[in-house]
Amino acid sequence: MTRHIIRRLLQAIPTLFGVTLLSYMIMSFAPGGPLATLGLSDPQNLDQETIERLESQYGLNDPWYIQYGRWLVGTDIIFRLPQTGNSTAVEETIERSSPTTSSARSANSQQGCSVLANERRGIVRGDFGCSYKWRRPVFEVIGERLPATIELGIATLFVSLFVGVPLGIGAAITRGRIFDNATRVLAVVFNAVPNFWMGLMLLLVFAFTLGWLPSGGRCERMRVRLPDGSTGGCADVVPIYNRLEYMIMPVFVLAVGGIAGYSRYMRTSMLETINSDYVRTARAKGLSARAVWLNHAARNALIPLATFLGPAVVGILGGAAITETIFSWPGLGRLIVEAVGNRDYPVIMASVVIGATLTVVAYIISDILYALFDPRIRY
Amino acid sequence: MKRFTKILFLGTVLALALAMVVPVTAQGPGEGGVVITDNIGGDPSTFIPFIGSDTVSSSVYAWMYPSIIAIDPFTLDNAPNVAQGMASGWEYDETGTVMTLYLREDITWSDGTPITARDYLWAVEAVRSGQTSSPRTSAFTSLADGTPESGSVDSIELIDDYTLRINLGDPVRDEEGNVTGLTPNCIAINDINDVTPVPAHLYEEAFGDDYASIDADPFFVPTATFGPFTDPFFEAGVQVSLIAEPSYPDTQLGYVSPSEWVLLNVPDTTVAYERFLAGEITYTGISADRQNAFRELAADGSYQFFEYADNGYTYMGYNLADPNNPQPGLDENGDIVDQGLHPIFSDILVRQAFAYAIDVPAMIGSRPDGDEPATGILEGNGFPIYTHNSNVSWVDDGLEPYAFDPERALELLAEAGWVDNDGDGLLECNDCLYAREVDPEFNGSPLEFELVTNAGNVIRERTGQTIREQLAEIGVTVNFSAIDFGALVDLLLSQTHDAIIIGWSLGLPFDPDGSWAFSAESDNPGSGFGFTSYNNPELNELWQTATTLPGCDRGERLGLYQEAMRILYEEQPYMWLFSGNVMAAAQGTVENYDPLPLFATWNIDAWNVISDQ
Repeated sequence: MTRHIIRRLLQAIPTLFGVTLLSYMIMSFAPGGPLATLGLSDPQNLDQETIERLESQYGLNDPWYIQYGRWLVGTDIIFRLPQTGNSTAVEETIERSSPTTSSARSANSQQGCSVLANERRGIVRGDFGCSYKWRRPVFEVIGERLPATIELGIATLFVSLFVGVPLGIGAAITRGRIFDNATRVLAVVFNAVPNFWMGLMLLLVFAFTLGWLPSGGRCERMRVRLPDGSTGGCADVVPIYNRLEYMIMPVFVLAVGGIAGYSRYMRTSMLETINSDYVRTARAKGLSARAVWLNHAARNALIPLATFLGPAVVGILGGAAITETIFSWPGLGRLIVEAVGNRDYPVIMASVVIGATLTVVAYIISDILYALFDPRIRY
Repeated sequence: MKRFTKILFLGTVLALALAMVVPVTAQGPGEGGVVITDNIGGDPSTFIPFIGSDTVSSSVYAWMYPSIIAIDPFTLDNAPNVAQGMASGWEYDETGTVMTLYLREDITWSDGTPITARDYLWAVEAVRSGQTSSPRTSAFTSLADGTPESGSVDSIELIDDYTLRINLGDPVRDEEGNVTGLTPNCIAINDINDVTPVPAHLYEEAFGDDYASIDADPFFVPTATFGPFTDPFFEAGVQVSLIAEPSYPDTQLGYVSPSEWVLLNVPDTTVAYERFLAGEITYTGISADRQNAFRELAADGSYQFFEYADNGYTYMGYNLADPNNPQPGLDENGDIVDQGLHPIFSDILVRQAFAYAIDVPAMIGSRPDGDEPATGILEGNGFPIYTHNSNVSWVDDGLEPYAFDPERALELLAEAGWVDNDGDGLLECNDCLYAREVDPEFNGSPLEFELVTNAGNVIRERTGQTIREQLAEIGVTVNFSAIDFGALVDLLLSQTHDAIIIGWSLGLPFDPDGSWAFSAESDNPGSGFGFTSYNNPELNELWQTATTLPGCDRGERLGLYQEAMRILYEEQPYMWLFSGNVMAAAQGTVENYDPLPLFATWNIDAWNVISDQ
């Protein structure tokens, strides 16, 4: 098993490299750029010279493979091409920490980094660069959004499994009867209804009409003084169990697809298991129907579900973008959408790396779980 | 006595009931409640005003820093002694290129340090160093190292703490690009305002003269500011919250009434609207497609609203040059370049025909009236625009929109050599301009072009669909598509498009000068905004004369701009469409809500959000 995991992890390296190379290439060839819309924001005042100077400072007028090389291994290995024209590329070092003089307010925890910096160490050495749009280290920008998405993702996975699996078992047990037919209809509806529409309808009914649930966000909006003297928001002071009401609607919207999928898959798996020899043996031994269904059939039918973990992670990350937008959830999905809109290459690429890594890791965990659950599997 | 007791009892009950029902009103500074507005544009990128370039950031730092020359919300023009403005007056010398700017002596940063000319100069030096990512370098004629820029501010001299001498105008350069002289420019004053003053004593303490390090600390906020709100707390993806600054002097009531101003991040417009209706947001803007419904909702006094015409317009921009070989308008010597012909839009008759064939009033439509439902794309919430002008302009162009007249359009197209040769209902080239001038084999080609706009903008998408339908009525085939905004910008800047639907939001103070969009100088594939490649020497001369007129008297400039607008109206490099109606709205519980056109929050320091607690 250990050798298998090591082998899978080693295989993941070229996979991730390929993903980043393709992503960077596609992103570079996509129309627009980080500064493309800057001029349109103030057409009477911004001019060609200014935009060209900024492109030069950002290193955006280098060929895409040079930019990719810099992003991957750093500027000490892949240098910038000599700039031409009136550009005034600034030789500036990176990661200057924010001055903590008496002149700065302490309320802002965000630390910046220079978008002009051309001395990057590359992602292979842990430097994901600086966001063009937010002018802060990419990892910091992503880091403050990631907890919200993980919170949503784990809750979604939990709800999907703990609702979907029992529904599937129940449907198998009651095959052909009302419950089975009802879950089938429900699964079709859950799969067919678009996330954004369902989110808006839930908001209209439960937040704006009935007022039972909050209309958005991860927590109540507040501004509080933290013990260290800095300013914080609700998520800094209110524990998760006191803000579960904020999760109900977004988790439901994200989970419906999983519930539908798990219930149908579980039903099929159960029905296949029920015709196996060991179930027949159990019945022949005179075990109760409950024992046969739950102890023998259900436990074995659960094994293939372990392979769902990888696709589930991908599905949740993908669905999070829409759900987080509808519910103003401050997560990674929304950040990625904004980054793509702004052509914020460093944030887009870091998101790609994180997404790809999570997917690869999820698939490896799936394999491990499969082997653990099913003793017949040996790597 | 019994009667007295009864009255006393009833009075007490009534008073208690009123106390429970009547909202509590503000009593003084910081007691006016929390003012919350929504934002769909994402998070701010900086709190440093001279490196910011996005509207979200500027909506935050605008509360904390003064303008060197502020705009008067009542006149929409630069004015002295305006709230949150530093200027107390200015004058030009006889050459028109030297401005002496006098500053107010009665204002201080919140730590008591006087706000002086040195604060402006520090920001100017930082920007001009070219070491920051600031796009404001375009305000200057050159950077500190001599690199030429295209702005008007050439040098600034400190006379004393409250007086600056600014050399500004159009630069005259020698062969090496050095500025050897200046010629007066009537709109150069706008470049002065491009740089926002900052408290020099605190910025210097934080950054010294290491301007490059400013970018590494984009959320730096000095301990002293100048504005109604300060001390921003930024929670990514959630909010930016500022608290009232009690020392701010330029207030309506003598104090800042609201306790806090919050920019709530609500990325979905539908959700933002519903949250406003639910009372979670204090003030917002209502989009054109919701304005009619909102008027009805507000009729009972639950909400307040104010409407005005926007300072901008939506248009269909053509490409008049060869889209397969984009060329700049001028060569290195400043001579006009032959940019080739566009197969369709190089011909003025075609552009004029389209102006007759597209029914703009039908697009604007009408508001609901009794049982009659709303019509049109804007449902009556817009105004026709027919040349390069603004609803807040000081120039009355004296023009009328093109009448919707498909017959006249067909006549013009026939005159231009576009007729239905084969009776299939579609127009084909029959000795049209392109066939005559470029390629005789073009004869027989259908009158067909690509029209694009940005996906997600419902009004522009519906406009494109309507243009496609209306032009189809006269036999013109329009292949319309909505694409990503970045892709659209790439397409138009590269000048490889046929026609695009997009809009300009025009700045303040508004000046009708359109040389940034309609001149050979602005026609640079890849970056210029003259992407129609429309070039008219007579118009160039008008722009030049109007912006360099000695004394800059508006009465004299007005006639020049009217002529420029008439030329654009007749030559139609754009098919001007409409301008939207802006609706600023607030909860009915906001006292002193008194918006002005384009300045809905000019008196926000006096607002009092009545609490029902």
